[in-house]
Amino acid sequence: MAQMFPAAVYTLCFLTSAACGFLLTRNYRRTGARLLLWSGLCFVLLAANNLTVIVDLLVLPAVDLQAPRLALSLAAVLVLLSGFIWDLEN
Amino acid sequence: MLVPFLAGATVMGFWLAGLFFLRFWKRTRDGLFLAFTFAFWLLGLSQGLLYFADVPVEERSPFYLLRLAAFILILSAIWRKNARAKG
Amino acid sequence: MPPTTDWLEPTGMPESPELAVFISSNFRSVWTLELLLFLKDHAATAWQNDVLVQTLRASDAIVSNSVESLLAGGLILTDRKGARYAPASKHLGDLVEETQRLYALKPDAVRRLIASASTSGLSAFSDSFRLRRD
Repeated sequence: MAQMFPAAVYTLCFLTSAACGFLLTRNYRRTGARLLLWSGLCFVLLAANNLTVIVDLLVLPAVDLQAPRLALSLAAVLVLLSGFIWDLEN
Repeated sequence: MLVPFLAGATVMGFWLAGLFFLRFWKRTRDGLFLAFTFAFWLLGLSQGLLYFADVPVEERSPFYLLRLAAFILILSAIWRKNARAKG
Repeated sequence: MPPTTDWLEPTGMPESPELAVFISSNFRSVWTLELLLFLKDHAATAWQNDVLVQTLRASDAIVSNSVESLLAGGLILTDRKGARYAPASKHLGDLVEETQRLYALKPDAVRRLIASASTSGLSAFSDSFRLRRD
């Protein structure tokens, strides 16, 4: 099954992003550092992006989910950059 | 029309994010930030190559391996951070 | 760009932003600073971790973590004989000197810098990925 390896790769990426998002938001709740909130949210959105790719690949192969995938990763970096620019003290 | 817009903005977003992480690395000398720098640049690169290679879907091209490399970088940085802390 | 001084009380002596970044990024706790200054004041000999634990009355974990991070920061060297004060460059050595002076003059300011680092910004980001709590 030619699609199994890519699916496994995206699953790994999904799990990694979700783990990063979890770790960052967990520490945000402990320390209150807002930078962690934004970067945590970024990784949650990247995880959603990876999940959408998996869905696109395996669940709904007939539907082109390219726009939602791109929108999610764009949202992820926008949230991250906004957090960096706004909340990072010098 | 929507896709080129999103793709271009995303590539630039990843590039900038990587730049920020590079700056953080320069300030703190914490290897974690350097790993994130290259991870985000790889993600941006794969997005950019994808667009210009006119490949409709990432998973039918070798470019998804760039994404894999990015996340392996992140995982190994986290691993190294915790492995050293135990020493 | 003028240095931001909002981490100081209004009457505080403004240290350079570079020194502030140096302190807040190199010393996760006051223990780490105390250990470095101890090694600096006794630079002639190398110190084993267990001797440091006894002399400074700190825990094993604190000493080994501090040695670890000071080594990574290029402020000490370790070998089989132990740890020894060894800044990687003259510039780093100067920064340590300044830190020592500031710590003697305004210990609270230094403690505040160290404390603020672990609860805000980049250190917090980096610490999020430490899976063990110590």
